[in-house]
Amino acid sequence: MPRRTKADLAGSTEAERFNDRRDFERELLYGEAAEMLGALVREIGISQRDLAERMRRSESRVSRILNTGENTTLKTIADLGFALGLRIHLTATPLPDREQSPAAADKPLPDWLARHRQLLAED
Amino acid sequence: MEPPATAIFEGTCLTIHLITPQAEEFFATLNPRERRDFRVAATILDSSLCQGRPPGGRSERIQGSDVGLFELRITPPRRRGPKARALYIREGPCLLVVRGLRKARRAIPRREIELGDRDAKAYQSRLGGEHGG
Repeated sequence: MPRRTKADLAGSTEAERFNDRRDFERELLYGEAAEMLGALVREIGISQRDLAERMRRSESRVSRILNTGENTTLKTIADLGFALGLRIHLTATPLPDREQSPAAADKPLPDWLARHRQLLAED
Repeated sequence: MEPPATAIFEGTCLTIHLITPQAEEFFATLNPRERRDFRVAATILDSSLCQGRPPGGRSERIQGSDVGLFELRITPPRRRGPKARALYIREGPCLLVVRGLRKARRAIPRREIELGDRDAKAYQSRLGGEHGG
């Protein structure tokens, strides 16, 4: 299948579906990050003020990180993990509708990716 | 308690149903962006339930509700403008939405909680009656 560019799809309902699907994944990543970090901080029982002190950031910045997840860099996430004594991992799972994504014609995913997820699950 | 037949969201660990006309009307008015926001919020909640992860902010129990209403924050926190919310009760893996609303402030208006409680009680008593014979 030839690779489709954004220009090929412009103005079509297919372009709208493409944008909607991509934006869904963006929003899901922001939301999941905020939800996981928010749940962790609540369960550990640390206040945002204490967390801000540990991270050497302002309390309002920490609040934004925990409440929105947006514009949070990997550096900030690593710092937050360190402040909580945690290592934050990054992994990937294939989309349930991957054949409908721009990666439809790509080679199959490497085996090590599944092993990586498995190792993290067992950790 | 039997859930309604149609689900507006089917995840791995939960389904979401609309159980009042108000909730159906509210969801019919959601624009495409809000519909996507709803799918995102529902997916996050589904993920939390599957993992046994407690709520981290996107869904909360509503203080002051008689029947144990929860709030699902459809619009993400950072977005400006009116925030779309769904009020629901839980019956096992089924989330039963009794009301939908758009609001400017963080807190749910007292009146909406009262209406949500009323609709949830009416639904529960109706189903109780059906099952009781």
